[in-house]
Amino acid sequence: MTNPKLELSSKLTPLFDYIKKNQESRKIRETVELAATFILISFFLFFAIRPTVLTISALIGEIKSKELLSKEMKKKISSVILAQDLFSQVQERYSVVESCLPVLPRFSQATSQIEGLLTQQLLEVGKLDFQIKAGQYFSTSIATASSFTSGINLIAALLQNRRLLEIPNLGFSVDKESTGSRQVTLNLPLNIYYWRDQVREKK
Amino acid sequence: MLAITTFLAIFVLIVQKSYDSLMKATVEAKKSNLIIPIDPNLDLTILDLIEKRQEFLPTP
Repeated sequence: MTNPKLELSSKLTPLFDYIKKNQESRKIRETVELAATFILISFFLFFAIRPTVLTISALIGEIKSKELLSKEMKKKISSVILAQDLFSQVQERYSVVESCLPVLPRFSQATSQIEGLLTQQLLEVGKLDFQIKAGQYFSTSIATASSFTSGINLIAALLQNRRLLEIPNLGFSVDKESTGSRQVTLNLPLNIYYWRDQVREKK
Repeated sequence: MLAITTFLAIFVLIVQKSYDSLMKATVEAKKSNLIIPIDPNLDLTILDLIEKRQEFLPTP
């Protein structure tokens, strides 16, 4: 007599084996499907979504930067308009700047200053020669005989004059023969400046 | 696992590149010379100093 339980289990074992194998192959299939899905999504992401997203973000960035520039430029334009208004208010004083640092050399104006100062110090007005130099100035030289004090006063007055000038060096000399007369010979080279407009010269 | 990692890596790369291109234009605009402000205030004290100095008018 055979055991009914044994018979049942021997009949069911192939069934269980079959179900088990089926389940494993389903797992493998599902895994493969999932992996293929992710790979396809990655492919789509890289070749389709990526260029679009990059272009969109670049354009948005461009828009933001242009908005920022536009805002700052509006502020700058207001500042320029304000500066123009302020400049127009002081334009009448432009002649003050022109008398100090003129656009052109204005030799006659420079001569007037030197002559005026020499006359003020009761010194002899001699000949003035002007030489135009490479930089933004021309040079001349004063040679005169005076007392030491007058010489110093002349130098101080030249440096305080409205016309912009520079004294690169100065020389005092005393002639042996005129030692008693307390006169010194003053040698004073001057560099007189002007606003050389290099932009206009290039045009 | 490899597929998921690949997907995540590509996703992070795209996010990083898009943020970079978004911010790049703004950063360059901030560095631009056009954005330097102008001070409209004029210094008029120098005019007062020049006016105080002596000037000799040309003799006719």
